[in-house]
Amino acid sequence: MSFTEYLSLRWPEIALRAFQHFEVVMIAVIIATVIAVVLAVACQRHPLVQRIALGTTGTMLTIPSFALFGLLIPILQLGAVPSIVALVFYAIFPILRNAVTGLESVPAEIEDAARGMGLSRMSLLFRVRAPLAWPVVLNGIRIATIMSIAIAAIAASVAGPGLGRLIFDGLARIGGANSLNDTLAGVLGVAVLALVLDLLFVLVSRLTTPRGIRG
Amino acid sequence: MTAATVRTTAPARDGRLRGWAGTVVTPLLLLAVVAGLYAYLHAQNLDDIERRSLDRDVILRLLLQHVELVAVSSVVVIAVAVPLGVLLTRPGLRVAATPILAVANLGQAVPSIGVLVLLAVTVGTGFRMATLALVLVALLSVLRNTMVGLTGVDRALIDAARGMGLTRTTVLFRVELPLAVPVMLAGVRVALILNVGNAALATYTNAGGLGTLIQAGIALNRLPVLLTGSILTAVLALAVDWFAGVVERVVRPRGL
Amino acid sequence: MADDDTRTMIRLDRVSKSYPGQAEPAIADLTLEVRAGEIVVLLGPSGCGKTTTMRMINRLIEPTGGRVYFDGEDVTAVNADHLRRRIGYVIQQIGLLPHLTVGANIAMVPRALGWDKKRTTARVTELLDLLGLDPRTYRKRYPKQLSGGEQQRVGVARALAADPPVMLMDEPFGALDPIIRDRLQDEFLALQKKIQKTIVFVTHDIEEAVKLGDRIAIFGTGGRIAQFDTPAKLLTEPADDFVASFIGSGGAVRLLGLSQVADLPIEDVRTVASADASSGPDGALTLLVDDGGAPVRWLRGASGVAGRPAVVRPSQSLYEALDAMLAAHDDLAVVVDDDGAVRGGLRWAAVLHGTGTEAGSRT
Repeated sequence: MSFTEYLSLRWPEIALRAFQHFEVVMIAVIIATVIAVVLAVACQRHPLVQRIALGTTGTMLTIPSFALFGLLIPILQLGAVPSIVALVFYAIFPILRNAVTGLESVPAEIEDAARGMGLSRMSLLFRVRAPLAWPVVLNGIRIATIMSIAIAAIAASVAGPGLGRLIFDGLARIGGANSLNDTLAGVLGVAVLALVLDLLFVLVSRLTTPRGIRG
Repeated sequence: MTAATVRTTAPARDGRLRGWAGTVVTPLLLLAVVAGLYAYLHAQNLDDIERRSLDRDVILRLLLQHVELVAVSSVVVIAVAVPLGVLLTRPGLRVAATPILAVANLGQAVPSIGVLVLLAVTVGTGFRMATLALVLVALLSVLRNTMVGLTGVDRALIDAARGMGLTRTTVLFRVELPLAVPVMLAGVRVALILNVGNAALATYTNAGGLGTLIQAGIALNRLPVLLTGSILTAVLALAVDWFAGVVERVVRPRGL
Repeated sequence: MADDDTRTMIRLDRVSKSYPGQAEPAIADLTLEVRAGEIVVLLGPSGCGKTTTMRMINRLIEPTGGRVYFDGEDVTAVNADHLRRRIGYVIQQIGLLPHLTVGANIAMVPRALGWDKKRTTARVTELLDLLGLDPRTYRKRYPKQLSGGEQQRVGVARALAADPPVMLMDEPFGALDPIIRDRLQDEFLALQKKIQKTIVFVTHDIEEAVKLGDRIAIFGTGGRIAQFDTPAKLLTEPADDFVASFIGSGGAVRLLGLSQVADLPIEDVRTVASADASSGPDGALTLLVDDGGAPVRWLRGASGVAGRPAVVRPSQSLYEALDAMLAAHDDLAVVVDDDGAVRGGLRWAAVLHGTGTEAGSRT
């Protein structure tokens, strides 16, 4: 069976896997974003806490995903939950780093002028720091998303949902009829999903970045 | 893109624990974890399968395989990516740099497990294929950092050196490469960590490594085996990262 | 010059600021009164504490001792954000929010004060007009699309948005090139004539201080005010060597010495030959002259009282003119020609403004 024939025959399953993949990644990234942004806001003006938070989450990235999945099984069993937890674990760092950088990079004179106008701490955060940091934070979310898509492919090793299943199917049927087709569908599916989401982020960034601070 | 790659984006603020504390505390912590694992396994009533999987010789052999996979693939990555990066930043070939980096970036969207399995399905399995897959995945981080490091060198310094009458080659080895070393080292460190992680997946293509324990642990539903594999893999990755950090600090030219 | 009986708008009462770990306080026991409607310039070398003093007024820096009064009210402990909304604030780096349009930048404080949309929009239009920026063109622009001079106009407009009685300005024109700076200073003076704000203005530029200030506080070392006086008094009667050397190092005095009375425009003065004929139009300056046309005494002088006039000749320096006016306690000098005949009157303000680079363009 050629790859195109395979695709026309199996597209419903591929689409389903792709959607599951997308779903798992999105859930994880949203949770990670909430955690990272809250953490970044909480530890602004506390350089030491920042260093520790960034150091810890950065070191977490060093742990191989396959090992992390393995470590999560005893606690969370197999399936979607350990996949999502592992992805959150990795996605926090890029978002946290960018949120910290973004919040910090507001020029001192802008903050001085805003405080001099009598903006309260809250409105300083929401009306000055947050909008200026947003493009940087969004880029962190983008990096976290693309990264998570690739890692989620490994989640199939712990029976997680998504396109990784197709890759492991191909591996299981090595030498068999659709071995290459399965693998290709999985690999290309992951790559296409990553590219589509990347483009989506470019679009969102264009739409949500205030015109005055666009490059 | 894999987790470790993300750290290269901002070398100045890479979120690793720095300084003395990190240098001394990390290995102690890792030793403590291994000791804890040892104690846990001893307290456990291991069954036959578990005892066979967790035999000292078996673990050592898998660890060695893992290290071998990482070492060979990392050496190949450096041997290929550094000269390639130098070539692609020479005046004549610079035009090719942007499209090649773009293609390489696209390639990053391909997950490492995908590269491994694709090679296994199309070419074959075993140590060599796994090494090739690791190289393909990790190549980009060193290549990109080499190029970024070299193009980041102040043009005025190169002009000054050329003005003194140094040849292009001398300038490359005496000015450009030394100045690019910190950025290049960051890339190598990422490649090392990538390789440790991806070598854990090599078990799926019959290339051994500590991933074998994880895979067996899942397949046979044996917790001690699974935990041993996972913990040792994680400890190895953190140890390699620590080691790379120490090397980075020692090798980095003074004054930078 | 401000009338003596106007009320005190800002009062710093024995205010001090010390930082932990520093033996010497940045500001020690500083007392300063600013009257409603005047421009007080805080002048001094960098690091003298002038900016610190200014920032203690809107409590961007919290004083460690003393009290701050705002329009008679002790504001040392009130909510700082609310206090700042009653005080306009302009800084050298301008600090416009890059993600907001010019209109939204100006609307910042009105929004924080809860003005409705219509009122805010109308106010923005009014201010852009006032600052000479066409609202149709500029309202929707972003800060990065403006020149430095335009940005600082927006900065001033933003500070004026909620019509605060007081404005603090920290070297607002310091980053602009000299020609733009000079034009903005002129515009600023014209604007102040219309809006009559109480203004505290920080600068290290003596010429700017003399040009803009109704009164100038010269800061010495150790956060202490060396002299607080009108520009002319500072120039002519420096309180101590520090003030003298600081003033002397600037270009203002040199300009006063180099420029002549002839360089400045003079205004008409009605002369009469006999004291009986003093029934001129109300308020017109009237000078009694002798047969040769030489001045004798004011029948109606600039300060409304009669007295001997300060007399200067066109060839005299501005420094001498100021000196003569001070000696006569008058802010209008009579200019006579070489024969001693009255040519007209020279204003105090015209002399001070004559020390600017556009000598005499403004009367």
